[in-house]
Amino acid sequence: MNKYDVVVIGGGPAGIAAAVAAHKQKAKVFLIEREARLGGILKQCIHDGFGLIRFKEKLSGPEYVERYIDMLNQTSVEAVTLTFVSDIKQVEGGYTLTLVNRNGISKIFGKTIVLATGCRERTAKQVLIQGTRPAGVFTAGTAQYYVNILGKMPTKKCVILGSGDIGLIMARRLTLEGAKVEGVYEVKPTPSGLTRNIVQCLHDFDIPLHLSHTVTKVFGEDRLEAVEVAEVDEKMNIKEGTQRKIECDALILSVGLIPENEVAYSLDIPLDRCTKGPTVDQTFMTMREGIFSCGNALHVNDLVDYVSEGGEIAGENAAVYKNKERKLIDIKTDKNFLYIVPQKIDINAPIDKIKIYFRSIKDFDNTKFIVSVDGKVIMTKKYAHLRPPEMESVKLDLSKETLNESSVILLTLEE
Amino acid sequence: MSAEERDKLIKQNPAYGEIVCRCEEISKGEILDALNSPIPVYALDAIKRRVRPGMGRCQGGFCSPLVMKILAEHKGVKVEEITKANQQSKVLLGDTKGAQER
Ligand SMILES: Cc1cc2nc3c(=O)[nH]c(=O)nc-3n(C[C@H](O)[C@H](O)[C@H](O)COP(=O)(O)OP(=O)(O)OC[C@H]3O[C@@H](n4cnc5c(N)ncnc54)[C@H](O)[C@@H]3O)c2cc1C
Repeated sequence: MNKYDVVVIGGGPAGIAAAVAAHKQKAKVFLIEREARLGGILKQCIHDGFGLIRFKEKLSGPEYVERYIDMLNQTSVEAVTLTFVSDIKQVEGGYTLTLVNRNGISKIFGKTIVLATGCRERTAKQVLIQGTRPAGVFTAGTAQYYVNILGKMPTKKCVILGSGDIGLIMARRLTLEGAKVEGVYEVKPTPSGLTRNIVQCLHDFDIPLHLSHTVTKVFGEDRLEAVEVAEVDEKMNIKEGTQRKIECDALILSVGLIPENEVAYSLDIPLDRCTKGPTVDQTFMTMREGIFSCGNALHVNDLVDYVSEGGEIAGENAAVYKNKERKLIDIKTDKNFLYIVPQKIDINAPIDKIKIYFRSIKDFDNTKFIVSVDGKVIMTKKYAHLRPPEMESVKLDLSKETLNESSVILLTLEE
Repeated sequence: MSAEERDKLIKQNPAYGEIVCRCEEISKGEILDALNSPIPVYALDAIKRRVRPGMGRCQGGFCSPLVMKILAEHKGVKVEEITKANQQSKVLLGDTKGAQER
């Protein structure tokens, strides 16, 4: 059985960055991807806007990932595609993984594992819509695959439910392809996607965005023929009398992404209720020894630049991993945070360059981000705007603090 | 099926080692089996009922385009001719502008 220091599962931008970073630390690395090509979801994101932070350039998804694949090709990382991990077992000093591919079944050993399996889209099953189940209900990512990879149109006239980024990007894409996008309907009073996508994908194409609206019914036996939309009140209840029927041939859903963590479930790795990804410390190690997580599998990122950065954190730490006892303390937050990553700090690991990623629970203007340890403020940062769709990251140095297991690290947002 | 049996099966026909539906772990080989059976079915819903791709967490989000491609190739038709349930329940409505130019 071949043995590796680091086995990376998932060959998207997070997994590739993790593999390259682990290789830089002289680890022997194996990368597993189940699709035919490396690159993950970026393969189908042909719009530009990737890499503004990393490369100070506006790249398309495939261009961005190509740069990382080039870096990977210059290493001795072994990468396999069309390969599926069917089982993982903990053994002495690490894990054995069972792999399935066209050559048969094989086993490898990894001292550590990096989970970089990306995310999946919420589906029609997760939103309550009444009516028939005709063809013509797609998630935005699936519609994107049909258009950008297969070159096929899934609709001529559609309604988009949800204002997530993929839906916004598809609104523009479908319009450019000659389809009519009747409107984007968002149940919340604020959009879920990035402001830049609202402007560039909707405003610039005169596509209306209806906030506090939802789709209540689907019509059509074979192919979708119409949907019913309605306005909702603050409690998300339908406002009677606001229902309106719209004729269209497709309903496209952009109602959120969820970290893909089947592998983590199978290993009983504790997940965070808010991120839906594993709980990790600042080395991006999960609560299971030797198993790391990064990218959209850890938390849904809005920018791929952060995904690459997170991949590097996980890969580097997996490469230098030594099985020694952790001393974990929680990072506490006030109620103004939607989530934070990492959720814990291991005070036995380096604490001078901690990267904290967070989202606020609602829109804030002119707010102060404050870090305190045992009641003493050790860092503040001002933000002109904080919006839940836009993730923020800060660097934290705790090396000057005397920390023990009962220390209280608290993050607050002051209005 | 044990790992050894599965390994043997894949060595005979590599399509059994190509996982198409990740949620339910269904291989291309199993889908081709349904297509080569005495009563082949070419609609997405029928394949779903027989072999179960698309029944899992992502509800076919990832695999339905792949399954459609396998069905179309096997039948020797364009992917837009593969439907959800019957002739009228079309999934795709023709080429994009970019594809028309190609
Ligand atoms: C439609 C869309 C538009 C976006 N637009 C932008 C944008 O404009 N700008 C920007 O900066 N970012 C954008 N993003 C975000 C960015 O693309 C993602 O954050 C990034 O691709 C996530 O990378 P990842 O490696 O975590 O996941 P993915 O890219 O999803 O890669 C995960 C990989 O893991 C593989 N995998 C999963 N499970 C297994 C397993 N069990 N075994 C083997 N392999 C497995 C998958 O096949 C996949 O290749 C967009 C994302 C989407 C979906």
